[in-house]
Amino acid sequence: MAPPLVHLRGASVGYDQHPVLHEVDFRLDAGEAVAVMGPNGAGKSTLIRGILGLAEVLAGSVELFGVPRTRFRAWHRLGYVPQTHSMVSGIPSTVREVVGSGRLSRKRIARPFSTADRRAVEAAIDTVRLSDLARHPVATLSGGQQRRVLIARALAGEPEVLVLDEPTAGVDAGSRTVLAETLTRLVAGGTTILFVTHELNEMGPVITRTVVIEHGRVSHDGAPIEVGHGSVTSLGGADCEHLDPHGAGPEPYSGLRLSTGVEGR
Amino acid sequence: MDLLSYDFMQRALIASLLVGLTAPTVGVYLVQRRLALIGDGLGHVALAGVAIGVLTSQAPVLTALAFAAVGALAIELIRARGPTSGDVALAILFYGGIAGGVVIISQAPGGTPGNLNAFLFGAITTTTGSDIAVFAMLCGLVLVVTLGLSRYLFAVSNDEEFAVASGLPVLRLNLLLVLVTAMTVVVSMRVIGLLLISALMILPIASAQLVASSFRQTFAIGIGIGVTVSVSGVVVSFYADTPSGGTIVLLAIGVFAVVALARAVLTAVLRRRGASLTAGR
Repeated sequence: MAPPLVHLRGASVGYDQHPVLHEVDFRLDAGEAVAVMGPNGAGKSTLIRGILGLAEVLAGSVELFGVPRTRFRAWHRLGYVPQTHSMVSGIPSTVREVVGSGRLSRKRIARPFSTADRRAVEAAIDTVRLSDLARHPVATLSGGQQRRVLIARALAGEPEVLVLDEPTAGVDAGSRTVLAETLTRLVAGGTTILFVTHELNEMGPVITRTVVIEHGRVSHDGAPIEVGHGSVTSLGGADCEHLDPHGAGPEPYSGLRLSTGVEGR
Repeated sequence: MDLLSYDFMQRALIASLLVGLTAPTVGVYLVQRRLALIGDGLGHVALAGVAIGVLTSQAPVLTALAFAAVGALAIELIRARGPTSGDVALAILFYGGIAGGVVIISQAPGGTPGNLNAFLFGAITTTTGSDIAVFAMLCGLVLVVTLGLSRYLFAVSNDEEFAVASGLPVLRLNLLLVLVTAMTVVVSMRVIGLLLISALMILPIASAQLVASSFRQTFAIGIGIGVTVSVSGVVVSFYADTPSGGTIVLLAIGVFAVVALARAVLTAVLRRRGASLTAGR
């Protein structure tokens, strides 16, 4: 049996020796699309930063593709889409230039780009429907288009797992729809997705599992939240109630209802 | 041309060409990383090296290179791993370097801080033949790094966190960048001066980014402006009998002002034309 793509066991993750996440167990298997949700400051982003080597693992273990994170070298297998990126200030850079930097995880240092590399960059730009804007400066694009540039940059390395931090935050409804369509196509194509979000909205149909983090601990790990006829909606609906699989959870997060599925894998 | 009949002018022009070429290729990454003033800090540290060279009768270019390189590595390691912020580390470099330089030069026979003026602000008569050989070698190394690793340096300067998550050797690339910054500072010490080199790293890039639409364009235009103002600054300095460093930097500021003004006027004209077209519909 193949190891999980990402596996945290009793992992405490934080910064400067201060844990933000406490003794978290989490696994991500191939083909999943997992949404990590929770209130501000709960530790959602710290979870993915711990996976990506951007936060310290203070206790427990983090394994990537069956390899301890400290010994993991195949970083091209993970594609990261950060929450924010300042593209307005600084040196002008085109969509193609920014996306090209995502291909470097597959390269040995100082090797020139091959035809295959250029094709992968163009394919990534095409995946997020920005081919027409490939030569445009990123700073001139809308917020939603800039977010798609970051997704394309992550895709340029042809990752098996795409890790996104708040991909829809601050993005207009039209761009959210495009983002959801892009992620749906990626999942259908076999890419595993892990993303942090406050609200599902258009992303709802994409996800296969929800993990809720509150006060640095996982309070739910199971089926997506369902309301109505199998559709997935945002947390925070007025008619929702908190459900804690561990029985004695911390304060409720925005009134959460989990209507179906198996919790607490 | 009169000025080419002088050996010192030939050397000064070669040195200005080298520094005009290299400074913007380093500056483009420093501007991107918002470390525009690191060249200033390294210039101050190099000053202490110059003073050591004068005191020990060694070639000041080489002692300045040693000091600037060590200072560069120290500041990057402090920035990346130390408890002190980059700003504080820069301040320590600024003041420690210039204080050390002034104190050390005062111990040299007949030494006064005034002896450092040519190194601080540049002078066209001071470039020696051996300086040119060292500058050419350093210039070559800087260009190998800034051109050969341009995609990597761009990636790290553009988004360091993403570069870390991509498994790129971020610390080594950053150390390399500050090392070539130190080399560029040393290449500048004859015609531009250690206190003014930062301007030639930053201003051509600042001008270029006003008109460029890509990183590659910014890079190319920045080099063009750097070479133009550097070489023409030395020529003006010869005829006008002015310090070369100050002349070059004023020319670079002039180019920036002209480009910024032209861009503002063009933007206003285009906006007005767009508004009249909209009103006419």
